[in-house]
Amino acid sequence: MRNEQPGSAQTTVSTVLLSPRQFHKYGAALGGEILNKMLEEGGKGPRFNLPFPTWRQCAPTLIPRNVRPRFPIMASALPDDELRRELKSFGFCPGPISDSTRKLYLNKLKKLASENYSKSRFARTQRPHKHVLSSQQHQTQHRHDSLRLRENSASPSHRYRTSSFNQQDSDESDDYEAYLHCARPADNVNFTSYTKEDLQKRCDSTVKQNVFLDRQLSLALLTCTLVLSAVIIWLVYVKTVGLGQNKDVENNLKMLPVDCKGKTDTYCRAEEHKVHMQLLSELYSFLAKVAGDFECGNPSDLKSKCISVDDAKSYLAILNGGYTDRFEAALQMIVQSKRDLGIRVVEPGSAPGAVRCLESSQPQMGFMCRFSRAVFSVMSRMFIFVLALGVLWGVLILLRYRWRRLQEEEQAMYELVKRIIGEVRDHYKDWDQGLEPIPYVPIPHVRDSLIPPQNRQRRMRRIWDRAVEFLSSNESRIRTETHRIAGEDFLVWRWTQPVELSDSS
Amino acid sequence: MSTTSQKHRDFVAEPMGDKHVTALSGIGGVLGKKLEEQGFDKAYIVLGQFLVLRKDDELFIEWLKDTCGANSKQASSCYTCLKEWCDSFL
Repeated sequence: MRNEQPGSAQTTVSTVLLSPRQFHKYGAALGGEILNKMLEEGGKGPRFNLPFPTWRQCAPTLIPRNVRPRFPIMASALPDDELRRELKSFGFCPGPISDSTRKLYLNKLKKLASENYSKSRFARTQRPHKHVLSSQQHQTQHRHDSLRLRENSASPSHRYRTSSFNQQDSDESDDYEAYLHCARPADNVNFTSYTKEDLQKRCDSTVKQNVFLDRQLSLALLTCTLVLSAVIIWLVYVKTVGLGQNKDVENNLKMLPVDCKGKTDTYCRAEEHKVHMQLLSELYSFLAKVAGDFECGNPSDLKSKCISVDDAKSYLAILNGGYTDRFEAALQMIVQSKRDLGIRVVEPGSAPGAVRCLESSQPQMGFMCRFSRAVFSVMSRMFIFVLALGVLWGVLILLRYRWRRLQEEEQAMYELVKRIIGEVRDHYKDWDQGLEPIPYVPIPHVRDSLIPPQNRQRRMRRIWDRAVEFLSSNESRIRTETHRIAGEDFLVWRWTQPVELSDSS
Repeated sequence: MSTTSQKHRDFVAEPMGDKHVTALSGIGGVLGKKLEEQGFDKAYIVLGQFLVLRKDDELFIEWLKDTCGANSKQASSCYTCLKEWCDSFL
């Protein structure tokens, strides 16, 4: 960089300092007049009375605010060194000004001047002077030549290095700076905490809903099961007891020694009747036992529970000799009786070799036999209900498992979101201190630094995608942009909150 | 989104030597002709202009647009191309 000696080429000095209003009012007329004057003086137009320190490197000039001109007069007709000085006063370092570059630099000067004008109008009262100087000193220490300041009076937390190429982005950051001046820091924090609380509530509400549903369903199923089992037990009991002996027929009377054979008077008939009843009761119990044995597993290998008449007769004879004579009379009584005596007489059918036999209509079975038969019959009838209940239990268990899985995944996602936010913020802090070259970080890079390679494809993929989605919609401090890094387009995350104001999550 | 063009990769991979201006990423046949007419027939001349503008992105893109009528995308890809080449070889 060549050194420039102050005041070397010009003798006449005329200070031309206009306020913006004056310029607007008289601008055109004045411009023409001044142009003539400049042409007269051979292209060495009016000079501003400014101190020019010698510079060895192209650092922004430390010109106090009130001395620096607020508005250039005529940008389009400035000579080269004027142009250079003007550009330097805005903190911009121009290269060689030649035919091909002159127009560009003139446009640049115009742009800088109008920016500065609008900025100084907007934020003059907000930023004290000491910030200006301290920030500049700060910068010359930390940045190297390729850095270009947007404007002199930016406060430390609002520096941006433009690596984006389109105008829109710079306009955006201008707007953002302006917005930040107005915004209260508390607002940002409140907003964040509100959204976090809101999130927490939303998360909690779904969990609560799930738990409520879960509890309701399991309660309902439990009551159903209890009711069903109670019903089953009651039925079993009824059937067990009901299959017990019918006490009506049991009429055990004492045997009378009176021999009433052949006599037909009332007393004897009554006695005979009693003996007959006794016989019948014996017969009944015998037949019932046989039938019971037959029904309950048939230990004596009987062919049927119907006992032939002769067998019955012989059995009764063993019991009591007096029964044989009265047997036929008893049989008659059974056949004629209208009441149910518990004995059935089966006449021989057309089947060959069938004999007249007796059968009990109320088999006498052991307790276990009765119980098992009762259970079996009840279960076969209630089969449908039991099946339905089992299916519902299975469904409930599946649902519970699924809910637990979803909840775990959500927890993992929120954990990942927290880590991402920390990572992006640390990256921004590093950039702020000059350790990183760019203020934003590509999304794949964040993923690769947080998730180990073995989990990237399968396990964490869904969680990562959900986290990215969540961040783009619910995190206001991180902005998703597209940038070209090393020739490749990336979606990047940029931390947009000033470091001093961010909370710790 | 990985759309690094092959042209970019080819240019940045080696010293540009005597390559024609159409070897630059973003500069095709039409733009190359226009640049030739202006005198920028070789890539190193455009490099010269790039360096004269102190490798500034806004200025270079503006200059390129003015000189040959490139659009933003072409101009920015040309800028990136040259910048990376400079980072590697200059």
